[in-house]
Amino acid sequence: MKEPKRIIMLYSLLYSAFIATIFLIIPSSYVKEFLAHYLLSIILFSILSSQDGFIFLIIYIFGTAFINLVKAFSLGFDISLQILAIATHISTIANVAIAYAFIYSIKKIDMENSDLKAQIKNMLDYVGPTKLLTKQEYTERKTMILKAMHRRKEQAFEIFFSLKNKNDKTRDALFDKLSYYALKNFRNDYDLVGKLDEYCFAVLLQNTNEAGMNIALSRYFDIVQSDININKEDIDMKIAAIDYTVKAEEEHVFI
Amino acid sequence: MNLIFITIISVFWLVLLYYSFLTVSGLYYRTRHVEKIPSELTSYPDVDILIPAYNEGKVIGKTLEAVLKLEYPGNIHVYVLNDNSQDDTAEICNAFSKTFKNVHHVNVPPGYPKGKPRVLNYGIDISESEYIAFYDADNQPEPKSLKLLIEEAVANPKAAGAVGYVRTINENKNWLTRMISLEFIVFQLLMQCGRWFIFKTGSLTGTNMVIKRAFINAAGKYDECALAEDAELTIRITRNGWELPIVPDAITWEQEPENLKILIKQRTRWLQGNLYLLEKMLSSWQFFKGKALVHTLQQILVYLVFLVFLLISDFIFISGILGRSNISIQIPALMIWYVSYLIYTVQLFSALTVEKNISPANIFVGFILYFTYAQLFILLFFRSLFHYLRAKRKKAAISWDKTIRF
Repeated sequence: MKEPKRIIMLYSLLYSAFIATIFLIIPSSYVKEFLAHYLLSIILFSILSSQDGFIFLIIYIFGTAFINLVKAFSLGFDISLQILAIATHISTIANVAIAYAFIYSIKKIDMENSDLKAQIKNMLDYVGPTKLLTKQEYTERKTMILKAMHRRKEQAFEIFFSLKNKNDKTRDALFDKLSYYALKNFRNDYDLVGKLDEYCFAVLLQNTNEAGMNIALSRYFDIVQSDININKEDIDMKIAAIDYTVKAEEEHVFI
Repeated sequence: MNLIFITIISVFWLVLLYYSFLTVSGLYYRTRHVEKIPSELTSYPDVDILIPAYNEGKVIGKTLEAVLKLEYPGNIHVYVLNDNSQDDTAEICNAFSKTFKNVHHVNVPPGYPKGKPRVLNYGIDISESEYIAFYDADNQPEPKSLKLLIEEAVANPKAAGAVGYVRTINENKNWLTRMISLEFIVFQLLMQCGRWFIFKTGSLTGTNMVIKRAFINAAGKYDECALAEDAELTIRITRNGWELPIVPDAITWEQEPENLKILIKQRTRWLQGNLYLLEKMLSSWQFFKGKALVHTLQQILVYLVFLVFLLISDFIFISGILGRSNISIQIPALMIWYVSYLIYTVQLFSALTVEKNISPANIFVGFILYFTYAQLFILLFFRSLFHYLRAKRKKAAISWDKTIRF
């Protein structure tokens, strides 16, 4: 539920439960006691942290229930008195619980907003918690990097890894491991690793020549092969050279 | 008659107070645990992960994928202990072990008694790391779970290991899975977090847990005749004075039975295992000493006292509603029932809140759980007792019923 809608709903609930409790449910002799409980709870909820407030709420519910039980035993409540006591208790704890929800919803609204903003940014930039760039983010960053490279007349390599032809049973796990090692091995301030589709990811190695690319790739496969039984040839791999060193225009050649 | 009833009511009061205290303690520990997570270790010990598997073709692939995603800084080796599966478990495990160097598909030799404890003991024998982690074949641990468990186990010098949380992956499948999920989170809040906070005793849950090899060997490994093998091993570990800390943030997601028939079979097995353990406990004073007493009393409380109270609460609910009781003393029957129901329901809602699992459907289930799922315990108890006594009379081993996966 959206936060403003939730606040409005909780406020309506808070107001209607309070009115119903005072005028319809509890006996008039209990109104003062109810108001004291209610106000004290609101004050405590305003002061306490969310966790402490919740623990107070639970202690309050249990404590008042036990007090009612002791009263019922010691005063020998008959069935009608028990029903009245139960109804009074339910309405009191319901009011206090709604007050808890309302106060902490307001308190949390700022915190949740900033959390949501951070989450949205994370989702836009990365594939879940993996830190692998999404296709969109990868493409955007690549475009920016290529523009800068063009200006500086540099050379780069884009390597595409595809597992479309691999064994179905291990493909997901293999993809996770290979992309994890790619992030660990390649990604620093310069390189990009992005997920292009379900079984394909790409690495952009910037400002490097073919020898540098081969060294990086061989280091990557050394790490991969320490953990996984796989050869370079087992992965469907394409390497594209991007060369701005010679001509003014972009040169994008698959090698 | 009155004296008996007053005694029962007094014990009832004590139990209600105890469970209220457990709830508050569990909430306190759960909500504050995040701040107490031990800091990162300078070096992480080697861990062997044991996954017992019998006809797990439907789930083992996802389990291995999740295990391979564990973010653990030390060395880990995964042993799938295939207990002569008849489905495609072996094929899937072979594919993984061929691809990943740290995944080992192990065919466990046939043997007796059948069941998980024997398979796990075999796994303990063939592996060699300092710590052993256990995951069921239908589990999907979160990436940080193993690291958090090891950090807690290493940080506490008295710890024999550490135990994480189990959550239900198919909670939204139907009403039954929703109820099982609720039961699990309440168990973990009260019996794990609450008891750990008050008594420094945790219980092994069979999955998402680590044990130091030296401790499990010293305790004598798993009792191969036990059906509730983890509860049984917990007692032996506790009797030796070791601790099992609870790590609520180390989470694994597990599949639960999606229909009543399978749940009844699974729970009958668990309950028979607990009856076996109860019998073992009542036959030796060793179980009433030190911290083992906490587990023994808990076992008695759950499998004897709780059953009696469930029956009594049903009785006083009905007599309270009707406004009559044959007992000559005045007792507020309806009020007693209300307080018991309130405590039970508040426990559920507390657990749902701290696990951030509040939803309209879960709130509804929370209200009706006492009238539905909790009552199932009566049927299960007598069914299990019948099977247990029959097996004892025939001097036969209690059969190990495999839980069907979906």
